[in-house]
Amino acid sequence: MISKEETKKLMIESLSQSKADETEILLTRGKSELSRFSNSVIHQSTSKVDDYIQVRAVLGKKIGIASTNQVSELSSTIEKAYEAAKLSKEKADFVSLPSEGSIEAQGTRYSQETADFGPKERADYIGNIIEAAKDYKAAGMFETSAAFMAIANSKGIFSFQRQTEANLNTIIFNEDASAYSYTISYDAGKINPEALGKEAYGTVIKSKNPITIEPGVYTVVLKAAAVAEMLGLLSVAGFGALSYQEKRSFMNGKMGKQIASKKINLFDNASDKMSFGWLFDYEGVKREKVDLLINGVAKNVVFDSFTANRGKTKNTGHALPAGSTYGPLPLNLILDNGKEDVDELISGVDKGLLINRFHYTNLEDPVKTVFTGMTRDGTFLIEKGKVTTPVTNMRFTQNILKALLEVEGFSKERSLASGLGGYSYVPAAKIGKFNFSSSYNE
Amino acid sequence: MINEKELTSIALESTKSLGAQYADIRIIKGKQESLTVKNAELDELTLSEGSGFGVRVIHSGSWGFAASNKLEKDEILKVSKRAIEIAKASGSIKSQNIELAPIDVVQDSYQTEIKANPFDLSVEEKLKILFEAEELIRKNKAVKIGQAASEFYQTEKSFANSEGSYITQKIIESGGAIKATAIADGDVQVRSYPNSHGGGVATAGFEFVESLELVQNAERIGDEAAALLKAHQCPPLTTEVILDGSQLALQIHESLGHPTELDRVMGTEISYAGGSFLSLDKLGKFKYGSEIVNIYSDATIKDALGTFGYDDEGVKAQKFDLVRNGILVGYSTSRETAKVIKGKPNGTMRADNWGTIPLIRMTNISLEPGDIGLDELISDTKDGVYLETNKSWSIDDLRLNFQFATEIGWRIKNGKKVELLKGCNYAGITPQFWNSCDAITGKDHWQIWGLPNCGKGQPPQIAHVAHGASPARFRKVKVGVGG
Repeated sequence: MISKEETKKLMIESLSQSKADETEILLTRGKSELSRFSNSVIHQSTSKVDDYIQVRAVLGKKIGIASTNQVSELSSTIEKAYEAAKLSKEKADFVSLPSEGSIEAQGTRYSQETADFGPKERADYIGNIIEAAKDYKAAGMFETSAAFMAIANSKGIFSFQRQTEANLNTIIFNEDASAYSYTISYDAGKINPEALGKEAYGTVIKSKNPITIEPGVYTVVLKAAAVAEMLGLLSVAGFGALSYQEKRSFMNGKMGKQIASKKINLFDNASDKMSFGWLFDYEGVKREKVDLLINGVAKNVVFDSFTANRGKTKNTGHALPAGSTYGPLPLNLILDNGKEDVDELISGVDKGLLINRFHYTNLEDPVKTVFTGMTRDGTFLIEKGKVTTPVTNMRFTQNILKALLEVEGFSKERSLASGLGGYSYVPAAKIGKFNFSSSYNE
Repeated sequence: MINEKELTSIALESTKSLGAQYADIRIIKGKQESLTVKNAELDELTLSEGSGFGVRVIHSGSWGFAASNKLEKDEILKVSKRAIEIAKASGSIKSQNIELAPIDVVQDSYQTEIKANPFDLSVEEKLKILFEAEELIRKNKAVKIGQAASEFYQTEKSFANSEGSYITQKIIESGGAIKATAIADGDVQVRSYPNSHGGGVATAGFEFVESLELVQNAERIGDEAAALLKAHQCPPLTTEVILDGSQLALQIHESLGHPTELDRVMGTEISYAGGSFLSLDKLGKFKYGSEIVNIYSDATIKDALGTFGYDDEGVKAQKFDLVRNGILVGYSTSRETAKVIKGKPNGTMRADNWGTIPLIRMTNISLEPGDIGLDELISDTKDGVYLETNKSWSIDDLRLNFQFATEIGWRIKNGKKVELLKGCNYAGITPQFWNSCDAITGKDHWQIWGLPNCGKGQPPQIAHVAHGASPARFRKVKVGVGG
């Protein structure tokens, strides 16, 4: 694999060849291998090696972007980006590419064992889950990947990081019950497939013969996967500076105001030891810690170089790849935990629902933060502080900010869960009122 | 220099020597151009290229797949060996050996018929329409963000398998879209044309973008977004719903297209996107919809986004029924799943690039038109809503319980559209919903809607598909679901 020094030399030399006023090169190289299983057999298993090079060329205030997956085409891609910039039109608010915030993080969040993980090792892990499923079926996927990302620009930025990822999840199921468990780590050696299988099995055996209950407003205890999905949608709805500057964010007019429960401290921090992913953004700028909601009060949105220059404020290092029309987004959400176990959260519920996971959520109204989706793979009725009966999946239609105002507690245990475009480190949450708009077959 | 056919032979000979029972290789070269104009500025001008190859094998009775971006002899040998290793590992956890339904051996080539290759035209020419349209979107001062975009794709594929097929294809796709965002007093309303989520996209040249009439529709879209700021919220009702063609296209996609994918039916997507309520025991018996509901898959429709010559298993593009007179009569199949049900593969296996494995994907799945005019249908509706252009979509893991939101709606009373509505959504259960379909408008209103963002699989793949539909009416539907 190409070294950091070789990468830096290649990029600096290439930048010097560019005819543009400013030039940026993003280079990633990686291997991703993934085994999927269903009906307790491995049915798909793949391996892919690829490179990605994206060049952004700037001529005055005109910008052109070109990309390729062939390193041998780097020079011609720089030329194409330059030609694209020549054809482009001026972007009035553009000032320049960033010049500060470089970070070189070789070795961080990287495991050679994971990089070398092979199909046989993945099959062994999956075998452990299938064994734990006993007389139920197991499905899921196990992905291991290794990559580096390097970003350099003609204003002096050079950022570099290697990263590995091991991502294993499963559902254990039969005709009327299913349960989900998951884990992610940069180190496959830290993943315990047997424990994961036992966790899902422990849930599925309690899920037999679910009942269907009436839709309505219930108190809910959302496990971390559901909390992370909800917060991911909230990020897209308005924690980025582009939507805020364009006045289409729920944060507009709310800065400094109470918009969620005082129990909520939500921030974005890629450098936190429990965070996952790249330590710098897609412009090569270190991702800074940003307070989003503190004691439920709206504090900040996140910025990239364009929105920071336009807003005459500090770049927080949250750019997406050049060409993205979403603007900057927080991809490493962290939600402060509470003091109780999940069981203690449940014990305070007179009548409500315990929800393991959401399915197919989507925002219906980003400004009002209304989203809909289904529960899945573990929904239970809570009565008088006890989990009593499995429940068939239900559809909810809920205003996220209203739900956050109704938060009554968080678990002390947190886990890393998939959000939208990143991973969030979040606890389970007890929410006083959550609106279910239909039951499974209504 | 080794040509592509020789490169495919290297993979097939290598995998054969390593004991593969079956092998295929796809070599793909793709390029893409994206142009976005926003508030009189060029927001994006991106030129992308990529190439690579993927080798798929059956060894030890299981699948293996490996892929690389380095199209060189040594790399093909290395990747072929990796595919075999992967299949062997998968073979340690299997219930039975993979078997494939037989197909014809084919030597053929296919190319999208186009009039104007978008990659031969100047960027200025392509931008002219976008700048003109975008300016008109913002003619209404309530519109704070105007956007106009075009997207062009060229994909060159070479496919060869160990049974002797060799197929080359060149597919060109072109698309365009405009969007108005009106903002006032904390309210944000969006209108898109000709559709949301990517606009109109087709397997065609730049002539398709010109045919969309983006400029001619720009002012109307801006005015509608502005009018929505002052519109009433859609009230909660159980009423008659008329869906426009574009929203009906998405309804077909989510509630019929996905659940008739036979891999979903057989459970191989269960842990991620989910399974299907259309289990095998329902084939030929299940009353999916009312008698006027006829839905078919056809990968040969000229210009449609899901049109091609051959799928990624080398099966010729074809037409087949999924629902006939309301009864479920078919599934989209692969060679592997067709063998299980003793059927024929119907050419729907597609991967979104060289580095991903083919999955069963929709092609062009369409609802046959009826015979009533749209004006007549509205006149025939005493109390209901007319809903247009998708805004949000959600459906459960078996594709039964759905809820969709639209950008715009109109209240219908006594046969007339009487009031503009915002915040519209509707919800239902798939078979109840389609069985409540009592009128479908005629072929004058029928059109193909390209959908360039169909997600499926892990790692996630994005397929380009399409759906033909004309506005249709559904009885007793829940609308205005609040949160």
